[in-house]
Amino acid sequence: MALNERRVGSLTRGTVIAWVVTIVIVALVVAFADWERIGSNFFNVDEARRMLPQLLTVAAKNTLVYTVASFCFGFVIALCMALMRLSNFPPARAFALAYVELFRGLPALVTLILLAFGIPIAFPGVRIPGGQVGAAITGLSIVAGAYMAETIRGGIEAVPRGQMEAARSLGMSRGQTMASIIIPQAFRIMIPPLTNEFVLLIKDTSLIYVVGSTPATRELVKFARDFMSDRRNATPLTVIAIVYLLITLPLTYLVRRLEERLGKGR
Amino acid sequence: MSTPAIQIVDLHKYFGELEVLKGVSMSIERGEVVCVVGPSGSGKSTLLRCVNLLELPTSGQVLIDGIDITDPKVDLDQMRTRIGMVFQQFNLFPHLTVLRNLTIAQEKVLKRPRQEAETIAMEMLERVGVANKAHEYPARCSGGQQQRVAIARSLCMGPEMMLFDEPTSALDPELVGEVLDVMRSLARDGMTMMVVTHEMGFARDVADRVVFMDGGVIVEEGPPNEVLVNPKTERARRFLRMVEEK
Ligand SMILES: Nc1ncnc2c1ncn2[C@@H]1O[C@H](COP(=O)(O)OP(=O)(O)OP(=O)(O)O)[C@@H](O)[C@H]1O
Ligand SMILES: [Mg+2]
Repeated sequence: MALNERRVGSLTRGTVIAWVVTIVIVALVVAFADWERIGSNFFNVDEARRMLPQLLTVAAKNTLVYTVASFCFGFVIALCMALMRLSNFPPARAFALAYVELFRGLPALVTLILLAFGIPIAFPGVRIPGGQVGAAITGLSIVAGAYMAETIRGGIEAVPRGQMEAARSLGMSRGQTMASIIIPQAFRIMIPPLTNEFVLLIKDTSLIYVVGSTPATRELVKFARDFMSDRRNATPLTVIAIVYLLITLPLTYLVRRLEERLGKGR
Repeated sequence: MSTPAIQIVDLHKYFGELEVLKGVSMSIERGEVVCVVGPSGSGKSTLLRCVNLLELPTSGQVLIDGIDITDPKVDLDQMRTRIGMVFQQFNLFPHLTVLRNLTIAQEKVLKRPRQEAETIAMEMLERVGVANKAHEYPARCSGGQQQRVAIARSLCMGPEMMLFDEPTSALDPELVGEVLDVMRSLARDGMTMMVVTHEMGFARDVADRVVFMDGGVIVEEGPPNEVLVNPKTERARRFLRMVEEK
């Protein structure tokens, strides 16, 4: 208890210092900045208005679709890799390990380019379904799968060994035990790190531009870049920054609530 | 004599280089209660866990009702439903309610319909005296209640025999009695039981036979009032003195 109070105390002190520093910097910026130019370049309401409604109906929507799709496919890949990593079959373990190390080690950008341009060159006739968008989602799923595989494996290993033993001694098979005893418990442990992966993935969708895009398949960053080069104005950056926060902040809040609710069973 | 419920034949178990069981043979008749006692590290848990193959013996045989379950052709999952197991740490499933803890294996393994599984579960909870906790999560139950739920969970599978690994060692002293009472009533009802325990009182009252293990072998076995009162070996005498001092 005493330890807890001390931690809360020092946290509060840290927070106070952080606020003071922030206020000082903001005050300096406010005092010396050229507000006229900042306003017209970054906070230009006319420019912002030009981005609507496509900002939401195309760009934000695409960002979300790419993220959710890559997250779902990535999760399935990750679950397979994690289960292979934990299996008793050495070749499966080796494959999963190689997969994770390879795609965690490469920059996501490189994976995307290799997939979108390398595969059609290396294997003429092989086409990734869904064209450029398909290639981009496949690439992101592969990368996300590598990261999440480790998260899932960690979650599964954090479930006490006695859980597997109790279920097996009741006659449940290894698969049944995994599906209804181990993975549901592992999932609770995994929620915070998986949220993290999701937020990272939202930002990684901005890499999709390298595989090429059409006006209809642009996500937020590409959309803003096109506007900026057309209009020679930086306001789109500010606008999409706000949109990103509007997506990520409620998400992290929602997950915290979910965690609290799931925590009750513990 | 009829086929023993459990027969262990020349069991050896290595963990890497370490030989934990050095040729253990014993058998337990149907309806018999056998307590296994001995110092820490003597291999009691390992022996018990070999009986339902949670631990794979390095060599030797385990016969359940005459069937050698170390034979890979045996359906082990099916076999395990006939052997209940109760752990020191209870090992209830924390994400499921007490009732669900009791029904999940009935549904998945025995393929009982939900309705029937719940009826049986309530019956077993009644029997161990925690029916009022059916809709709680295990975390909301005391240690004694959790262990009784764990016993009920095993009973739901209709086992012919039960293995207990120090079922009261993780409990506060005032909660030990309620779990031992349940085990006593099981013994009275004729359940075949193999119990690793440090509860000498329980062993004296309930066991038909006591097995004293040390260093991976059975040093002495016989009726409780011989092994626990008048042990023949020096090792058993020393162990009993140590337990009594505590
Ligand atoms: N999974 C394992 N891997 C390696 N060594 C093990 C393993 N399980 C048990 N051992 C070792 O085997 C020996 C016997 O362990 P066991 O748990 O069977 O003893 P025990 O008689 O049940 O002791 P206790 O009364 O402390 O529970 C110990 O030396 C222990 O360290
Ligand atoms: Mg033990």
